[in-house]
Amino acid sequence: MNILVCVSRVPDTTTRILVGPDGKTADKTGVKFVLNPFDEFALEEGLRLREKNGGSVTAVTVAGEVAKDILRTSLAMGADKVAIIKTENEFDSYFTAQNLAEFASNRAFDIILLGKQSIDYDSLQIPAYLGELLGIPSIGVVSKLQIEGNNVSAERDIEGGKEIVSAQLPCIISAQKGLNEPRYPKLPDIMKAKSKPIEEVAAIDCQPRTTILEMSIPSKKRAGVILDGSDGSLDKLVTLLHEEAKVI
Amino acid sequence: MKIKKNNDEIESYLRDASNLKGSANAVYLPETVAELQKQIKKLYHSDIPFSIYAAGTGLTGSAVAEKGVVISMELLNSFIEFNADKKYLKVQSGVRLEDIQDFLETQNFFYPPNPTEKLSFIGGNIATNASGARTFKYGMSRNFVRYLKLILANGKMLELRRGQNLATDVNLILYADDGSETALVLPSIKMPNCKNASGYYIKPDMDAIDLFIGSEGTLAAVAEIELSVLPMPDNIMAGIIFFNEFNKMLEFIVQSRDFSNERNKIDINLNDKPCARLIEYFDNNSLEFLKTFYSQIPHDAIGAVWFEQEYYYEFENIILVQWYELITKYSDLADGSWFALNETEHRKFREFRHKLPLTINELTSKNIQTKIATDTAVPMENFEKLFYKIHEILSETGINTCVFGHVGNNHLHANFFVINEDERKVALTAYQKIIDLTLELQGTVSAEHGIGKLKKNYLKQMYGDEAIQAMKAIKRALDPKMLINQGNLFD
Repeated sequence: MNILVCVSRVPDTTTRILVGPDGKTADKTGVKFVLNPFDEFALEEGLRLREKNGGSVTAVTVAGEVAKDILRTSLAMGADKVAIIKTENEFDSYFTAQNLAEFASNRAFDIILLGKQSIDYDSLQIPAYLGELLGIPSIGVVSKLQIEGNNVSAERDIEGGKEIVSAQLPCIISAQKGLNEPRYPKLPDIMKAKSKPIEEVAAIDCQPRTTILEMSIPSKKRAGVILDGSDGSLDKLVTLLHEEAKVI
Repeated sequence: MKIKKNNDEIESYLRDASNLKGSANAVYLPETVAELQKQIKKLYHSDIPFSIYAAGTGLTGSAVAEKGVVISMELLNSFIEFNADKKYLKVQSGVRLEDIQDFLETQNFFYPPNPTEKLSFIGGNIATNASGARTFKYGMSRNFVRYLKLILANGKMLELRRGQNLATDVNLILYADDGSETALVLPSIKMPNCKNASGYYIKPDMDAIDLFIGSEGTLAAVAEIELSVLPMPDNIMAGIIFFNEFNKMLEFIVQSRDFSNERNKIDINLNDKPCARLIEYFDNNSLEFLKTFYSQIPHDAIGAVWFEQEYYYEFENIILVQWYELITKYSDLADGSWFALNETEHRKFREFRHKLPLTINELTSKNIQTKIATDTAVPMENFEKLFYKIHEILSETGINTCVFGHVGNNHLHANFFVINEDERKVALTAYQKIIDLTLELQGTVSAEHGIGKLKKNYLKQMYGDEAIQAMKAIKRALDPKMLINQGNLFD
């Protein structure tokens, strides 16, 4: 099974993000970057498919030189090959999808796995873009995956329930939390990962379709008012809801 | 200042994480240090006992009022000053530890003492001299306190800057803001040579600030604190190492503790060898608990050790190779052990460690029992005896138990899960055996949780009645009416 996992490098989940002086980009000072947590589920699923069916797992990212660290993490988890589609410019989801599609198009992957979203820009567009650009099925937000031969059965999280859909390989699967428990890297794998090559591919020229105009931090929530349980405060509550919150 | 008097409102201030239930008539919530000082003065002159309440995350009831009123520090929660050049952060006492760590992270700094409970207030941390996993390298909270603004029981203010108010042999003079002096004669108390949170810190030529750190609120309310902080290390590696043989695991622990103690004195930019900043232990039963949540724990593991190391990037490979060699020497499960080089994985390891007490607390509540857990540590040279003996004592009980803890600091938590009164008796007998054993080994009855209201008998056993009376005399000198935080440390 020839498996492709698309990974992205995102700020660590607990990092407090500040907006840079240009008002359009995140300030990267002091920010720790990690492998996108949803991509970890995708990678783990890829590794399990390989363990069951044989074949190889390739992890790929569209990013600048700095993102080689998450490729090393992918290798340490067990990816066989990794590649970076290199660009040092700011780019959008369309640019990413075009480049991933270009990379995938002549390599005959049986399945393409990726996180349901990157937790940085949250565009959630790549899985659908990729399906369109490659002309293959794309199943999103998958929390359980079964593959027998070419038949794919995927359980999707939908609002208030589950949906089971089927498709044929090759296809695209975007991973939801709960799909699996990503493995912890083992020391021998970390050591081996260090000496494996990272394939470098130049990004294809492709005009982004969106431009970021402005970025801002949400304003702080207004402080709450705590009232005691007395009758007097009930009147006060009504007054506040009417005059301050203006909801009644 | 806000005041709460309704039972519903004050209910939550009458408990801490130990489940001990207290009693009080009102809760005062000062919004400024001036209000805090004024209120304490008023209470003192009216002879009303009062207890200082921080986040209520303590495990020994030290924040739980026996009577009188509660002063909650939650509104004194401002950041005052951060100075990156001089590496300090000044805050009010009601700031949460989590907020301190989050703020410092944005400045690429960190505050080394790292108790597991992130929702605690920094003032509470100072009152118990809190510690955590990183205490192995960095020591307890005490080491990072540069300055304290304190309000004494009589409402006078005391400002102490480290290094500026030292005892002359056993004579210590404290100077309050109104110019008054309190002269103390320090008793002779032999503190154990290990991590310790039992009773007052007392020794000749000591710094006055150390008397208040770890005094469990019995001497003063902490209003403001200046903390030493450190630049964040660029790189951290971590491992959760699984072992299949008990004796070899203990050998690994002792060896890595000893070489790390030596190498932690070296600048991390120059060290190219394994060197842990924390060493934490999980026994077989702890792993059994965790297997419910972590399917990747190897089946033949009988215990595990979690370590973290700060290092200079250039040395990553060479250090990793040496850890691997070392681990393979002591365990057949080296290849099944987990390693982490990035923040996501580090957090998962920390969650793995944190999951244990959480699971234990849930199980304890489910069994409708209060927690029975030891908190003892011993001097380094006696650790192996403690380690063997604790496991022996626990297996003899025949009840459900587990042991984990800060083995780098020679400090273990033995936990008992009892389901009825008979088992409770068995657990308490074993608990007493562990206390006796610890004291035989010149250790401490409480290394980090403190004494509070629940471990007073053990403090007495540790130091003897005379020393307790001497500690009480110090309190009386500063709080003649014995009003502040009554019931902590001694009756």
